[in-house]
Amino acid sequence: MHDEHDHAACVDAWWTRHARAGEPAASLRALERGFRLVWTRAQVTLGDVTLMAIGERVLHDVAEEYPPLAALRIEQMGISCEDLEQDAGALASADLDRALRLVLVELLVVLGRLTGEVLTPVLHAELSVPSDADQESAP
Amino acid sequence: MTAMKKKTTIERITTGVRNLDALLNGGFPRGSTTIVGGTPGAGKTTLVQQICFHQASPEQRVLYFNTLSEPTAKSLRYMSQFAFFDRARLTNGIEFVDLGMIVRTQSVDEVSLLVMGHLKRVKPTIVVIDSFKVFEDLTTSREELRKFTYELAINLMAWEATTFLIGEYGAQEIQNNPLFSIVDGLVMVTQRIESGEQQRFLQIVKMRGTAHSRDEHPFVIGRDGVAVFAPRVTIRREDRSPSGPRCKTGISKLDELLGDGIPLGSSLLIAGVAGTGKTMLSLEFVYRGAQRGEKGIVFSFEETEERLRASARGLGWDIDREIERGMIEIVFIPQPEIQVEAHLEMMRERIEALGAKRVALDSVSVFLHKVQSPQVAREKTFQIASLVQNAQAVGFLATDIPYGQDLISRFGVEETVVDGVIVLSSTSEGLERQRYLEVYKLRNTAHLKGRHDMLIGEGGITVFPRYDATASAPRSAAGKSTRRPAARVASGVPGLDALLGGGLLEGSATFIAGSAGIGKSTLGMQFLLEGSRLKEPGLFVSLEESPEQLRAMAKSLDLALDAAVDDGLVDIVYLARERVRPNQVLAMLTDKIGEQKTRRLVLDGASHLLSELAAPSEHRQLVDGLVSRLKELGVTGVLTFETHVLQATGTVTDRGVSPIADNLVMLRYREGERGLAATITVVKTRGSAHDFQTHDVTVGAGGLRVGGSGGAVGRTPKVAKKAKRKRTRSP
Repeated sequence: MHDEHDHAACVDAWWTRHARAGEPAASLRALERGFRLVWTRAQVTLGDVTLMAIGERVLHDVAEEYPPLAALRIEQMGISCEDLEQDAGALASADLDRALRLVLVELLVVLGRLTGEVLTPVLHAELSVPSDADQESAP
Repeated sequence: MTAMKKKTTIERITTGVRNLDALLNGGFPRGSTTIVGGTPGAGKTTLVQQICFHQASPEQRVLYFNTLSEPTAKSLRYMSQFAFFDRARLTNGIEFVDLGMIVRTQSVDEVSLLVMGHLKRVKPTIVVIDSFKVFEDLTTSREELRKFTYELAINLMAWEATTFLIGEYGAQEIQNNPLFSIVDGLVMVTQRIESGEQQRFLQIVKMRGTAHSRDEHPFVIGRDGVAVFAPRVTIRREDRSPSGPRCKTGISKLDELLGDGIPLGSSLLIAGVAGTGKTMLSLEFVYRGAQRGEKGIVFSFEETEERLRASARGLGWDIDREIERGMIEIVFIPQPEIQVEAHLEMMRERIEALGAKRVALDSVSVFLHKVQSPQVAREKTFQIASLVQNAQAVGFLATDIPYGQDLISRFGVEETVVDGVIVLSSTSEGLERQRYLEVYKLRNTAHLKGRHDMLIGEGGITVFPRYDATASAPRSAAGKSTRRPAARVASGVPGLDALLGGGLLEGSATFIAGSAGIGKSTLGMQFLLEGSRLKEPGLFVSLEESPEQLRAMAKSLDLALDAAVDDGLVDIVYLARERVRPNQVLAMLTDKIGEQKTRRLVLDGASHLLSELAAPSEHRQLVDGLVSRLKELGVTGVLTFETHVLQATGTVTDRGVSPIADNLVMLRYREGERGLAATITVVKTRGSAHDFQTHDVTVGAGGLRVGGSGGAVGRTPKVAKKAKRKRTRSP
């Protein structure tokens, strides 16, 4: 079984490759891209309705800890950071980085728990395999 | 990659409902959605509320939505009667939400949003919607209902809430209601008349990811809430081999029939028609166990504890003391209150709690009296036997046999699942009723077969193992004779010893046959008095004269019987022949010989025993059994037989038992010069030369004497002379 620590470690690695300290925009892109990779892979198996419900729950939980994240929106293909981007100043950049990273961790945690961690290896793989896009966006 | 190969276990929430977790293989899967369906009043709400109270805590919150069924206020009031109700949890664990208003005025989408709003706020572990059936009425189509249910189930799943949807769903809806295919689990509770009584049943029809029981299980709703009974699941026979020495019942002589004893873990049916002693046998089994330090429990369905105690007291048992010191427990369950499944579990608990090593059930036929099916009777009997087996106890399961049928159990199947069967029976004999006991079957144990006499009297039950069965049974080393081969025993009548070649062979059996009054008893007394002189304890068993008559007779003949009796070297036992039963004599003699350490025994009037038996073959069996037992015990025996003839020599004993004797002595009359004269003839001696001639005998002071007027009178028997010469020549 994977525990929360495994998911956090996976997201940390992703975050190291794609986010930049002190650059909120990079962190938002890192979340959007990571969220979309996980979403797209899970969508095949779980379907839209389930993923939307899970996404809503994840955002609700994280927004309780970081209220500005209530501006995030779950969409058909993943997450939209557009509204939050408008209001990024609401969080200090260090907090924003931590909050956005938490969204991705929570998504993996909830998906893992609900599926008995059956999907976890492939979802982690999605975030671990470097792609051309990774090269472009590398800090 | 290792993680990928590992099987994940689904976390489960326990229910707090007796046995339900066992049926669910641990509880409801966390995050699952389950319909709890059933007719109104079947117990759906109580069942789910009990689960809620069991799980609710500040960390594990419960959201309970009431719709358009029972108002929350009523629900709370009724619930407060149950032991599981905890007022504190209403403020810090369970939150009731009444959806009545919104359900009446809004669409199902609005309801869904409201439910989700509460879900996000409370983040419950458990969500209940009571009743969900109302949404069938509020949706306009099956498609709308399906969509609403599906989305609700998905959202509840996403929040990892374990959900119960309560509804008045019938069995027929399972087939075509889309709701049932969406949910993970379906538990149906029903009530119906079964075996003449209204009963509740629970069935787990479906539970995804769970190896659950699929049977219907009865349940009750009591002060503690719902209790499900599922002996088929909870009482499983454990694979245990006997863990200690075999059980000896302690019931007089019964253990002689049971070979090495009853293997631990065995259950025996005690079968018989009414009045054959099943209850007393079962009760004594438990009582004797308590005296040996083995705790026992009696489950009685007919006799109250007080009546059983009184019965025991009547037989002289101090059962009250055993109960007071915790060695015996009597559990009385009135017949009308029997609930087979519930009481099976109760029995398991009581047996385990007491640590009972002996279990009596009186009776299994009454316990299962509502059961109509032989298959169910067999299963339930097997479960009872499993309780005994798992406790490594020994069970006596009384069962009534129907009158006049060739059965050894009520259904004719129970005996196939137990380890042994003891059949009790009785027959009417004259004005009396004679009881019998038969070990019909006992697995893994060499036991004495056939029917044996049984008495219930002061002290309890006594079994009298049948003479022919015991004669053929293997004896222990302790029971073997210690006699010296070819040693001679003086008969007390020197002339007779001379005819016999020097006396009776030690451990031999001598039959003395003759008509009434000819001197048989006198000869027997002399035989014992000779033993008394040699300090060999002797036993005179009389089926004719009383001890007083015998002593008077001895006195008239100057025989010192009184002194020998006073010295404790001769014991006289009188068996009134109208009372004695042949099968019982052997057991009685064995006991007496053991007590007295008897070396010489006279059975005076053995022919009276035989007259109780009809068939000549039985005569031979009885005498053979007696003689064999005496030989095993190293006792030299003299048996007297009364014959109807005075003079004839064509027959010796009239009974056809002569071949069994080692020595056969015939007393007859002959026509003498002055009337009848008594004679003696040694017809047979086994293993010794003897004098075949007939000699006159006289009976007078000093007893019977060989020699007198006529025949071979006055001569020293040839054989004795030869034997004397031989001994003289020997180095």
